[in-house]
Amino acid sequence: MDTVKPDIARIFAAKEARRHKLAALPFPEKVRAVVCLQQMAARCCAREVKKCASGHSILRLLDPFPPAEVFDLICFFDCLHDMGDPVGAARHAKRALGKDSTVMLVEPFANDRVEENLKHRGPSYCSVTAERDAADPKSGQAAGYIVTFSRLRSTGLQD
Amino acid sequence: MKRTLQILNELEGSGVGGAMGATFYVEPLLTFDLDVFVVLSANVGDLISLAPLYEALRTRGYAEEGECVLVEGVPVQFLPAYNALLEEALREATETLYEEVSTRVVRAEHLVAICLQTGRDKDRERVRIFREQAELDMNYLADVIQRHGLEGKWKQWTP
Repeated sequence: MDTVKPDIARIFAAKEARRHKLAALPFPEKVRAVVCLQQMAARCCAREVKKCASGHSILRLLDPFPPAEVFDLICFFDCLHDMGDPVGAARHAKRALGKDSTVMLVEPFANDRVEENLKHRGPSYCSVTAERDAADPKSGQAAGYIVTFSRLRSTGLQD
Repeated sequence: MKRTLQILNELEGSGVGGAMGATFYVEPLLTFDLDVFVVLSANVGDLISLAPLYEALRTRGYAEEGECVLVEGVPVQFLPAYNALLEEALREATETLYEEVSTRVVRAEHLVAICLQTGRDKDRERVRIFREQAELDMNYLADVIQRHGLEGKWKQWTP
């Protein structure tokens, strides 16, 4: 596996430390964190958070994309290639970006052509990390084993 | 949540499981409902039905919403203890305090075993988080895994 840059390694380490810190919180605090997560999910997925009489949040799926707000940074960690329609998901992310915003994409590297991927690491990445059945019956699109730069560029995302 | 747990405490042989149960032991996990395992009495050969439970809650003013019942604003999904593992998990659930309200939560080791048995991708991820963050009694867990024939899945998921 390629080594990550020190800056990225530091981000991952900080993220892990934060997760352990969250795990050590008292349960009521964690419940409050879950409610925050629900609210974040609601904003991301254009859901409405309704307050019921007791003050608890209830999530309802209401509105289609796009969301009411834009994002400065959207991250995919080793997951885009597993989605039913990875190109559509990337396009979806692009629509949610603000001006000068970024999609951070952590993916196994792959070239456009099969023969270009027939090297030591290529097949192992493909067999271990990718969903064989990643195909969206609606769009007919699927990255299947790999998400390549050319497919991503087709969404309008720029390097 | 506090009031919800007070109401649930009135149900004999119930225990909190699922993502909220896991949140007792690890970092807060995103969930939109509270999974509660319940033991429902039924004669051998009878169908186990949630109808009496739903009816009892309905008479107290708690309406069904989809697959959940809205108890004090919190969507609660009741899951009957449908096999030996879940029955054992409920028998051995531990009393925990949530803002002075005592509530029964399925032990972390049983939650891990339930994940192994359920076997979805998110269960695998949850097992990873449990191993990383929860204080698991590994001897106890090994007994549970062995008793319910989950050694194969454990080996597969924890190389």
